[in-house]
Amino acid sequence: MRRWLPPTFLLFYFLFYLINVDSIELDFWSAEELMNARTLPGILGVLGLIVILLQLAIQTINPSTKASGADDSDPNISLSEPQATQNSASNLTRAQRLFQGLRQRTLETHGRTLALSAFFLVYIFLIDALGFTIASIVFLLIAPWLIGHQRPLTCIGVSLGIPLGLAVLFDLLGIYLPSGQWLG
Amino acid sequence: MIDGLLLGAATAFTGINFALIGLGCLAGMFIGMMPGLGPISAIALLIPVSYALAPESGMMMLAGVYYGAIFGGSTSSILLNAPGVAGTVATAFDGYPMARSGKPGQALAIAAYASFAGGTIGVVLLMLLAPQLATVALSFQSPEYLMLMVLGLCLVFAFADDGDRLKALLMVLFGLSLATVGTDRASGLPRFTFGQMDLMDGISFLVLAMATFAMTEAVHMAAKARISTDQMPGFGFKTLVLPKNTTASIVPAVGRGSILGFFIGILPGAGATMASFLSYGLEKLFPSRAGPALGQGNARGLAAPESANNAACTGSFVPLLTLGIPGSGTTAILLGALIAYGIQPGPQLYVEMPSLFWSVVISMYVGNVILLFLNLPLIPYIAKVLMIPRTLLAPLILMFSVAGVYLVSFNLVDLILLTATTGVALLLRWGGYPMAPLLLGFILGGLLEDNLRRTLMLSQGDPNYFADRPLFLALGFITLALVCWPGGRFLVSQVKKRSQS
Repeated sequence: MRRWLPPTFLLFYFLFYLINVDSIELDFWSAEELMNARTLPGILGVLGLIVILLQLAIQTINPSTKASGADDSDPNISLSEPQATQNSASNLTRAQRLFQGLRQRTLETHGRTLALSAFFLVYIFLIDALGFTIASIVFLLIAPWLIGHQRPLTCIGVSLGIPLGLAVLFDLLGIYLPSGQWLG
Repeated sequence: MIDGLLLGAATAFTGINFALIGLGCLAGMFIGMMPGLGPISAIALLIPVSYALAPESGMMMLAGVYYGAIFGGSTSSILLNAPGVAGTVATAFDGYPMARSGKPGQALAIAAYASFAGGTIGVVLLMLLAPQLATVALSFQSPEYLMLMVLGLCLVFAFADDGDRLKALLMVLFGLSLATVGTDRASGLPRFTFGQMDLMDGISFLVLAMATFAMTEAVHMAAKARISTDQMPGFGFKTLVLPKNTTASIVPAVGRGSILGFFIGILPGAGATMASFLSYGLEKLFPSRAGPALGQGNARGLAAPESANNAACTGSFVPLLTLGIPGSGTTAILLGALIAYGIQPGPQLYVEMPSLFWSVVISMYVGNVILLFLNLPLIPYIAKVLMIPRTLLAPLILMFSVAGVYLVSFNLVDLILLTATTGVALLLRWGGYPMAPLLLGFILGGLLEDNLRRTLMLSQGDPNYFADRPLFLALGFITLALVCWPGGRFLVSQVKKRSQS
C-alpha cells in the first residue's frame, strides 16, 4: 500500500491539475501572447504526468524495491504489515504473542494519533468560535492528556502560561488578536 | 574608505546608538525565534519606534532587528523542525536531526558561529566591494535569473539519492504547481481558485512550511509519545565548545557558504532562501569523511546554509544602499523606512550621506558581535526545549504552527488548508517522498514564472537572443553539467567495474 498509494495520489493530482488548466480564463489579448496564465501550469501538468507515469512504470517493472527513503521510524505512520505474520508457522505461540503485541501497540499509537488529529480539528473550529487564546488553553489542557501525558499540574501550567504569555506579548507588540464569534 | 569607516564607527559607537543596535538585535532575535514571525514582521513591528529616532539611529536599530531575526530564525528550525521563514528551511535539514540525536546545544552553537561568520564575512565583502558589486547585480537580468532558478531546482535532482531522483523531481513539480494557485501576477486572472476568494492570494508559504515540517513532525512525536523518551545528554555550557574535528569540517563549509551567500544575496530577488539552498547543494559535492551523512545531522549541512543566509542578508544591502533597489521583502520595508525619513537611496547616498551608509555598515558588524554574545549564553537554556516530554511537546508544536499561520492572516481557511496539507504531507512522507524539494519548488515557483515570462517577452522566442548573454550561458552550462552528473557518475563507475573485472 505504501508503494502505491502516494504515487496514485500524485497521478490523480497531476491529472486533475492538467484537466483544470483549460478552465483558467484568459482575456482576449493574453490568449495570443507567447506566454499566458495557462502556459506554466500546462508545462507543469504534462511534466508531472510524465514523471509520475515513469515512477509507476519503474515500480511495476521492479516490484522488489521497497519505498526507498520511506519513513520507517514511526510505527503509526508506517502502517506496515505485522512482521509476526511472516514468521514460520512452526513457532505459533511466539508468533501469536508478537502479533498481539504489535497489534496492541499499533492500535494504541493509531488511537492516540487519531484522537489528537480529531481534537486538532475541534481546536481549529474553536479558534473561530472562542478566539486563539481561549481555544489554545483548551487545546493544551486536553491534547497532552489524549496522547498519554500523566502530569495534570504541568498540563494546567503550560496550557495557561503559554497562550496567556503569547496574548500579553502580542498585546505589547500591538498585534490584534480577534476574539471568537461566540464571544462577540 | 578608511574615512568612511571612522565616520561610521564614530556614529555607531555613541552610547544611544550602541544601545539601539543591541535592543534591535535582542528584539529581532526573540521575534525571529517564533515560528511564523520572520524579519519582515519584526521590522514592520518596530518601524513606528524608529520614526522617533534620527535616520542613522533608526536605520541602525532596524538593521539590528533584521540580523537578530535571521539569527534567531534558525532556533525553531533546529529545535522544532518548524522553519518560520523560507531562509531557514535548509537549516532544518541537518539541524533538526542533529538536535534530535542528542546534540541540541551543539547544533545551536554551530548555527550561532556560522551565522556570526557569515554575517562578518558578508560585512567585510560589503565594505570592500559594494559599489563595484552593484554594477554586477545590474547585469543579472530576467534570463540570468531564470537560469539561476532552474539551477537551484536542478540541484535537488542532481544531489538526491540514486533511488530518489524521480521522487525529488516529482516533489519539485508538485511544489511548482502549488505555487501557481491564486491570481496570476501578470494578467491578474485567477488560477485553480475554484471560485474561492480565500485562494486568490495563493497558498501561504507558512501553511506549506508548517504542514510539511512542523506538523508532520508533531504527529510522529504523538505516535511515539509513549514508546520512547528522548535521552538528551549535555545541555551545559560545555556544548558551546565544538570538538576539533567538527570545527575542522565546518570552517571550509562556512567559508564557501558565506561567499556564495553574499554573492547570491546581492542579486535582487534571489535572497537568503536561494543562497541557503545553493550552499547546501554545494556541500553535497564534498563527501563527508566522518560523522553522519548530509541530511542526518551533519555539521557541515547545518553550518553552510546558516552562514549563507546571514551573508545573503548582508549582501541584500548592496542593491538597497547603492542602487536604491530592494532585493527582498525585508529590504523593501527598509527602503520604505528610508523614504519615510525623506532619504532617497541610490548611487548618491554613498556620497551625500556617508554617515548613514557607513554607520549601517558598522552596525552590521557590531550587531553580529552583540548577537553572538547574546545568543551563546542562552543556548543551554533554549536547548532544554527538547527535554519537554513528547506528550507535551507535540501539542505545543501544533499550537505554535497554528499560531504561526493564524496570527499572520486571521483566516480560518488557512487553518483548514494547513490541516489538509498536513494530511497530504504525511501520505507523501510515508511513501518516502522528500519534503524539501516540494518547498523549494513552491518558493521559487512565482519567481520562475515571472522571469520566464519576461525572458520570453525580451527574446520574442528567438534562441539567438541567448547567444549574446555569457552569464546565461555559463549558468546554463553549470545546470546541464549538474543534470548530467548522476548519469556521468554511473557511467564512470560502470567503466571502472568492467576494467577491474
